[in-house]
Amino acid sequence: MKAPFDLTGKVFIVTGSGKGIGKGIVRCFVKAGAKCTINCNSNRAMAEETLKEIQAIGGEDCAFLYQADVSDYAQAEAMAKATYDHFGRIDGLVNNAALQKQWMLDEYPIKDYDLLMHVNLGGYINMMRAVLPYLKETRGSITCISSVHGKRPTDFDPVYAMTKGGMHMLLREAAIEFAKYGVRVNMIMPAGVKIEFKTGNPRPFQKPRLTPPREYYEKYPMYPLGRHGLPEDSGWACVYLASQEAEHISGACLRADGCSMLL
Amino acid sequence: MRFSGKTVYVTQADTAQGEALALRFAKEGANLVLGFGKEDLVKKVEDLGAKAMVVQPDMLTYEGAEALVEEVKKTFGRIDALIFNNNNVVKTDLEHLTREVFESQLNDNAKAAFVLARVIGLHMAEYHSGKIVFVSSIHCDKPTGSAVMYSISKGCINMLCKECALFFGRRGIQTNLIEAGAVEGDDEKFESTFSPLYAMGYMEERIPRRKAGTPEEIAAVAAFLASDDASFVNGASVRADGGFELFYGFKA
Repeated sequence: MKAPFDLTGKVFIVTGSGKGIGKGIVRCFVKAGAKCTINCNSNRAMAEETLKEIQAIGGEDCAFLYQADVSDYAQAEAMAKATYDHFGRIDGLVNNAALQKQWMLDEYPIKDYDLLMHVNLGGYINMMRAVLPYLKETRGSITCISSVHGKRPTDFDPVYAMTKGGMHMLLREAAIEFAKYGVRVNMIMPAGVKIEFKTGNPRPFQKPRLTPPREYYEKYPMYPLGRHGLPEDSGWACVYLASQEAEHISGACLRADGCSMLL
Repeated sequence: MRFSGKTVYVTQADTAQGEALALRFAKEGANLVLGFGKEDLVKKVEDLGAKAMVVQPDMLTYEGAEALVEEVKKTFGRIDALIFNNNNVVKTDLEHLTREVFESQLNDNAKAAFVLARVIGLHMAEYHSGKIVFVSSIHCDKPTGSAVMYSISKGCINMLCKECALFFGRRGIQTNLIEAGAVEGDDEKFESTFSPLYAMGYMEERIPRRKAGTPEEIAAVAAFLASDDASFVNGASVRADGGFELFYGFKA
């Protein structure tokens, strides 16, 4: 008899998994017995390092690296096909590849508005459509990594929040539409997650915001549970949502943020 | 009259909802800027003793919106309230979504909202006063089962409203949103093959008062949110659907 949440023999695509949260998700999937397509867009060298690290956990044939820009439907479709050709099946997708630019409303370049919409929303939609034919065969699942900023505003990147607000409805529409195929769609909302590597953002956290003195944060930590998020917090939630045990869960949103949004 | 001497810009004034908004604000004394308004609407507004101008801006570029602000400034001096009323509905499911519908729905409903809120918000911030009201939909939260890109675009606006509430709230402007629903004609607009929400002939049965909402009733909420009566309402979503969304079964 299988242990709960066992994903042995299952195959997943995790977008944007060359680093950060996506990499943590792949790590959890592989530990749960699954095989994964690791996807990166720009930083292939880092994704190759990730591939080696994952293979050290789950063996030589547990992971497969595919470089694709998910905002282009043709590339999304090609990645789904390559995954199927390589592993012989697809049981699930984790939509994770997304961008944040940190422009304020008055300085937002319109080309970055378009970029965020096409990657954060368009990329998620492209991948969902690209894997659907394969998921119909396996009655598989889709999990979208969103953010607490699908619910509360950022105050530092309005378009990022808009894409996450749109994702809230993408989740709900997809959940009721794909239910007829037995395909489930769920969502995870992390808050701040410490990743091992910061993206190539030219001005990360440059904007000075309300900055209370250090004692304030010592007395009132931003994360009631005592720490910021880690990639595995989303990873294990993905394992659960993709497992047989979650077969009655669809259209749901799991906030995995150390309780920080409630402050 | 709550809007005497004020200028209200209503987008998509060539729709039934746009007309109801324009006439409501005209009755309360506002000067109207009518996005794509037709001649007969201009006449109706003027018959109410208000002034009106028609604009046809490019709502997808900052330059287009800035040109609109300059044009309005010449006639009315400034804009006091933006009533964002773009609600284009294209029916499609996700499985058969095309690139064209993805682009057009996001552009018409979300990008135009972003561009106009930004440009007109910054214009109103110069006076440290103004209102932004998004006439949105219950489909910023409730899925349609028939028009996925419409609801996604409304989800985007939900967060845009909250971002504007913070950013422009510090600059004297309040931003709010109406979740309109179950208005006359919505059952045809959103009929789904698998969601019973708008099952034909049953929409009104789902509304506790058993009568669909009217554009005038939505306009009344918009007038409140755009008025000084709502000076402490900011970043709020007001659901105006007669209780339609709360009902999910068929009881007596």
